[in-house]
Formats: sequence, structure tokens, C-alpha cells
Amino acid sequence: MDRVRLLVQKSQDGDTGAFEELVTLYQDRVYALSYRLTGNGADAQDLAQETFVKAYTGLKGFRNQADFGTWLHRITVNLWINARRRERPSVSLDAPVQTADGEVQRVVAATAEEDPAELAERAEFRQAVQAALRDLSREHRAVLVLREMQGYNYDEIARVMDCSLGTVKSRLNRARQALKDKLAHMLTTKT
Amino acid sequence: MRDCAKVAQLFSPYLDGELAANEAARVREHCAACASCRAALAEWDAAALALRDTGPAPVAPAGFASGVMARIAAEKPARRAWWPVGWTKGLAAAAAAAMIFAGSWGLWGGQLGSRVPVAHNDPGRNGPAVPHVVSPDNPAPDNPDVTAPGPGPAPDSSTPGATGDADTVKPNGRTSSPGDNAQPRDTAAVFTSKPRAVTTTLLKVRVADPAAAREEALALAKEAGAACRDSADVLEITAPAAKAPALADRLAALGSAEVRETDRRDITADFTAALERYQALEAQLAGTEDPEQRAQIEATMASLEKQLKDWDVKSSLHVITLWLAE
Repeated sequence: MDRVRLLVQKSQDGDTGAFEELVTLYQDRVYALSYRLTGNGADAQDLAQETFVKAYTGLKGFRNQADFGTWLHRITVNLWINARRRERPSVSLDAPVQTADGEVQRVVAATAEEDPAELAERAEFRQAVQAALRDLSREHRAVLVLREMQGYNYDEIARVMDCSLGTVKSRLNRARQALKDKLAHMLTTKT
Repeated sequence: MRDCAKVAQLFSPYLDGELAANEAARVREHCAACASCRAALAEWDAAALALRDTGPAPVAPAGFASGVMARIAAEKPARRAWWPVGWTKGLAAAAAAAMIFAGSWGLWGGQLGSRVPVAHNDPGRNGPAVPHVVSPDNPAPDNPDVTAPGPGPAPDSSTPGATGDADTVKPNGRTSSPGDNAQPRDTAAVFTSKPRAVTTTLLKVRVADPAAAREEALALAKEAGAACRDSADVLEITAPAAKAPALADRLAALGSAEVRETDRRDITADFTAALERYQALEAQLAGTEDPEQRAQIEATMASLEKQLKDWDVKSSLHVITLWLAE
């Protein structure tokens, strides 16, 4: 039995030390998703914490053949979609972010051959896209975050969102269409 | 016009590489002939790329796990008192370091992407066929730009994972000899058709003397040609993918391995879809004269190329996050 399964089993038997080890192992994965969904550190911390508390109370229902990380992400997305709207002001995902290497700018460093003007233009467009993303419904935002930022494939998204593959396809299609419409509106308004 | 509406319904799965080959070809053919659909697809593409380009994944703040456990303890007062102080710190750092790598698509663009710009040849692992991509077994005889593989050294033989003796493929589907990197807009990006996956390993080893074990670990990593980075109490070891499993075995043998978790995420479909989009844009660019449209296409191509490079570098390496606990 691998270590995670053993820790889950111990946690299901009431070993809180084992559960803390699980939290430590998965905290960054859950926090990263939470941050991308909420768009700010304070809400991300609340959502991630809520995820683990919910996981702890629901551990008995977790079947150990499933992937624990996917199960946690499923809880995170459910909590996010079902949460009442009491949002703090959202910051741009382009704002500086705390990583294990300290606070860094999200703008990816230029490679030698990239033109600074092009980079600036790309950064501006990225900010517009992220603003449009924040304006989407929670379901649409969640499916786009899972696909584009977390890199999940359709099967994984279906497991996390607890829906069929067909639903994933149609939801992604609608979410992208909505994002494109918002973006077009924002860019038209701006000019 | 009716066909436009039907094709537009395929844009989303097309971008994700989730269409059957004949359906993907239908999208490409339609967009090649229809300017408005071409522009619409470019907008979808640009938005998707902008979303992926988000940089390093944020990590949980210090003390997060303790906060969770304190809240659980507060809500369950009957169960108290359990976790040893000091246990959390090292594993938190280990997990943090591992997840920075695993949790973000965009990370390597800012770090190794610029350092290792050239993809690697891997003639022994040709995976599913990629349309328009030339592999050693499928040398694209109709393409006038094809050149035979030359002798000479690989473009970057110091790159981890490079084996360097087969044809390589640029995003535009041209093959080149290993020394041919003089094309102005290709910026040395060459790709082979092969399965790609991002692999990370989290390793926690209990040892009698962490300082001595750390020195041994550094020596083993150096021997394997891996790069090391200190992150709090852990070592983040970036090794060539082919050498990583054996290195992880040797690192695990430094003491008693308590955690060894390997995560493998297959990105072949994403890579193939992005490469196909790049190639379709290349063809589109050739038939476009309007400077504004050309600039737009070139910008999308540049983003795609960056994404492809990032994925290629990520899939050639394997990060082992090693926590040596006493």
C-alpha cells in the first residue's frame, strides 16, 4: 500500500497526525487551485482551509481506490461553486504572488529573442483575459481554471466536477464563448 | 454559413486536441477558406494561451497546515493533541517545492524555458503520429524544405535528455539537420513526435545524520547530471528524465524511505493540439498579406511556440523533491 493510501486509512481510523501529514502533502495543490478560483490570497486561504476541514469530516466516504488529490479538488470546486457570494475585492492574477522562492511577479521573464513591446502587449492582453475570467459565472470560471490553468484533461475535469464527459465538453464550449464575449465587450469599451 | 455555425461548435474541443483526426481536419480546412471563422478561432486561441500563461503556482502560506489542524481540533474538542511540532515544517517545505513544479503549466517558461530552448531527439520513443510532423520513420517527402539529417553535434548536447542523432521537427513541420538553426523566426525550437509527460517525485527519507546525507545526495545528483536547489529543509533535484528513477532509488537508499510519491501527467494530447494549431497558423500566415492580420497571427504563433517549448522542457526533466528527516 502506498504512503498516501496508508495515511488516508489511518486518518479514517481517527489518526489526526496522519491527516496533518496529508494536509501538508496536498496544501499547495489545493491552495493553488483555490487562488486561481477566488483571485485573491485571503479567499484562497479560506477556501483551501474549508476544503481540508470538509475533507476531514467526509473522510469516511472517501474510497481509497480514488485519487486523493482529485477528491480534494472536487471538494474545493464544489465549495467554490456553492458558496454564497461574499467576495473580497479580487486582485489581478498578474499581481505579485508568494511562491516558495519568495514574492515574484507573474509576468514570465522574457527570453532573449522576445521584444519588450510585444511582452508588454501580451501582459496587457493577459490582464484583460483574467478580468473577463473573474466576470464569468462560477461554473464557467471553474471549468476554465481546471482546463487551462491546472492542465486537467476532460476525464479529470469530469471527475472533479462530478459530471459526464459530454457535460465537460459543452460547459467548456459555453465558458470559452462567454469569455470571448466578455473580452470583446471589454476591449470595445476600452477603445 | 450553416457550416460556420457547426464548425464553431468544434473550436473548443479542437483547441484541446479532443477531436478525431477527420473532425480536426474539417476545422482546419474550413478556417483556411473562411476569414471570419479564422479570426474567431484566433480569438479563442489567444484567450486560451493567455489563461495558461500564468507563471508559478502560488503556495500555501506558512503555518497553513497547523491552522487547518487547529480548526479541526477546535471543532472536535474531544480529540486533541496529537501532532509533533517540527514534523510539519520539513514536509511542508517538501510539498511546497514539489507542487510549485507540478501545479503550474507556465512555470518553466520563466525558469528553464529560456535556459534550455532546444527540444530533444528521441528516436527510440516515437509515439502516436502527429499530422504534419516528421519523425525518423516518416520523413515528409513532399516538403521541399526538408533537409537530410547531418552528422555534426546536437544543437545543445549539454541539455539534459538530449540524445541528438535523429531528425528534429520545427513547429512548422520542417525537418532540419542538427546544426541548422539559422531560421530567423524559429528561434531554435524543434520538436519530435513522441509521448510527453511531466513527472515529479516527492521523497521523504529518514536518516541518522541529515547533514552527511545531504552531502551524499548532492554528490549523487551531480553524478547523474542533475541540478540542485535548496528550498528550506529540502533539496529540489532536477534530473534528466531518463536518469531520475535510478537517482531516486539511490536517494531513497540513503536511509529509510517513508514517502515516495511519483506524479505523472500526460501532456501529449495538449502538445499535439498546440503543434497542429501552430502549423495551421503557419499555413494561414503564408496566405495572408494584410500587415495587421499577419501581426496577429505571428503573435499567436509566438505564444504557441513559447508554450510548446515550455512543455518540451518540462517533459524532458524530472524534479525529485527530497526531504531528509532525522
